[in-house]
Amino acid sequence: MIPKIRDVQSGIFLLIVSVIMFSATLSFKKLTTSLVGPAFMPQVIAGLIALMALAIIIQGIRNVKAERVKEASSDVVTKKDPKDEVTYRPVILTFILMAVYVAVMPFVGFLITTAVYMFIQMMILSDKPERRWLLFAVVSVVASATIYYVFRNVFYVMLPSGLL
Amino acid sequence: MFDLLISGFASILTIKGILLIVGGVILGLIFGSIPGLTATMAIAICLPITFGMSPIDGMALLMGLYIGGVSGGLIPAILLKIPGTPSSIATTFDGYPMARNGEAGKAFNFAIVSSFMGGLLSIIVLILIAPPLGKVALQFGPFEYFAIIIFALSLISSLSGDSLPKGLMAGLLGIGFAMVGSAPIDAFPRFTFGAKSLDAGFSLLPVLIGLFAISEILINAEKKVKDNLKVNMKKVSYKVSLKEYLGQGWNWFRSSLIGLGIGILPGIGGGTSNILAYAAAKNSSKKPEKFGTGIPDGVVASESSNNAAIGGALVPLISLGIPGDTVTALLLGGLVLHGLQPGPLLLQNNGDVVYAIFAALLVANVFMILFLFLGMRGFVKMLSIPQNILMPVVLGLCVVGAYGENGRVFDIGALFFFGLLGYLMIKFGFPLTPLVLGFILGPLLETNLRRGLMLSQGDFMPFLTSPIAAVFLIFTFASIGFKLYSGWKKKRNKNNELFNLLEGEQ
Repeated sequence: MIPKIRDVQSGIFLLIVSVIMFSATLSFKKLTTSLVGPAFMPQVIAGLIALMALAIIIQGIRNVKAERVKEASSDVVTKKDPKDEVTYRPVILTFILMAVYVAVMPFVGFLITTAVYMFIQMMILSDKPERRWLLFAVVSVVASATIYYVFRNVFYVMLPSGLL
Repeated sequence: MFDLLISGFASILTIKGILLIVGGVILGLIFGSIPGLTATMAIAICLPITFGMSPIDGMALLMGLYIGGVSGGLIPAILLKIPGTPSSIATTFDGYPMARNGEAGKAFNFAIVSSFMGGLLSIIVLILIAPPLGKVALQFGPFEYFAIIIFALSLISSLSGDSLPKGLMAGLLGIGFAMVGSAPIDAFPRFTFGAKSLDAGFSLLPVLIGLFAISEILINAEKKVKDNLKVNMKKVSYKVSLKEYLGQGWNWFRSSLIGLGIGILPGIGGGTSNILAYAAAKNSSKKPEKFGTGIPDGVVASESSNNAAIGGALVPLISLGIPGDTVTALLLGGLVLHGLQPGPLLLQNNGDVVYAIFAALLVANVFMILFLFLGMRGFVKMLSIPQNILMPVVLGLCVVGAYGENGRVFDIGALFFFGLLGYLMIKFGFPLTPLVLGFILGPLLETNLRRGLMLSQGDFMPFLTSPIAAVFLIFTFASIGFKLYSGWKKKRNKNNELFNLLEGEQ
């Protein structure tokens, strides 16, 4: 079963994180005379993260073994509810879109970037037959313009205006 | 105390104050009723709006959001069998069958009234016990504080999610992320890896909004079948006789007390209390077999307990400065953003704000019952907005929220980073709440540790020998030990079951 192997994967990843974290603390200098400097807490936390990572890995391995025993003993195939089914394509696309959004924002400004972003995001989230171009475009433009002007003029939050 | 409360009301009952509470309650109800949007999300998005306001006005808005957000969940729970928030899971058990039996109006009536009554009781208890508790806490020094924070963090980590190491890991990661930037006391830059934009560390808002709003949008993106919600609200009668109300009195009182108690304990809030109260109502009922078929008792139990958890969760926040769940963690963030120092000193230095919070809660509770009765049709209409249009617009609001605090594009990047982190944590089965609490409480923990060590000249013993600190550290070990024990017991039962199953097959 995949979900149980995930525990082992995340545990190993976090173990590596704790090692990087700990080695980064070695360059911290003590600026006060007290025994406990800026490196103390990070080292304790890094140590505890490593400990928990090991616990997660061990638990994960045990669960994987238990799963295998169970699977061997029963050969009932559980049917999936279509509501629980997932596709990763929109998630990956969404994240790429977010990255582009941040990169472009300082140059083009909040208003245009956000309107374009909202439109593309709506397209990603909808299935092909549900894509209503005109509605999406109108909602995106109106929503981002409303947010922009309300925050600028009512709450005085300055948003990047870009080159325009 | 009474005159303080009256002056609290005086500071809230301005036109601006009332408008903010009304706006907060309505927005909270909308966010609470639309599945996928939560009270936490509403507060995260609205935090930046409160910047330009006075602390009292800001708190008025947030309290409205809190009460509205918890209460709004009952609408889709009864109509669609989808809890709008985790706080209304148990409402679906009997609320939806009632609606199917043609008693939707009656179910709403019971749910709304018990929400109001549960909230009222818990707010009164909050007003009565938070101030004296805060006075006791005034005597706490760094040793006691260190122990209390450890206790709160461990309790939250061990209670949220079903794996102890994963919960603790999430808490530790939160503390770790809070360490990026300058260290407390001596301001030595840590974990910046030479990047200048990391010198100031991660701001609270991008972390909160990213973890709770962006991750939700990503989770939504992966669903193949989108929920399409269509509801018919014609022909609904709200009539319930006074006798029926009175018959629920004891059920209401017990459920409210459960909600209150659960709310006060850090780590478990409305999401747990409604299920526990439902179970308690079922177990003590004379007709337990009727539960689940659509009887008002179940709705009353669930809805009075989840609103009662509000007042409960605010007790440790106001008296100790320690948040019990994610919403109160966000409220703590709101206090910090306004330059108020949370903790027992809050009551002494900013008593006006505290009593304004109490007053705002009472006012918001009244508006909540009013709007739910009058505006039910409008809120139901909100349910039919398709998520593929709603989510991108919400994301636009998230971006403004993250950017507004400091005006750095870096914060928008941080927002998306924490969104991805939140998404991955959900996928890999890590709870999010401990991470937020670690992020908020981590710096406090370190400051108190180092202050304490300065006081004791590097001696660790006072952390163990101060009686209050010792008690809390013992509680900490007890709570972790209990979790380990119950996990072990569960596993043993499971193994036995598996064994019996195999025996039976042979």
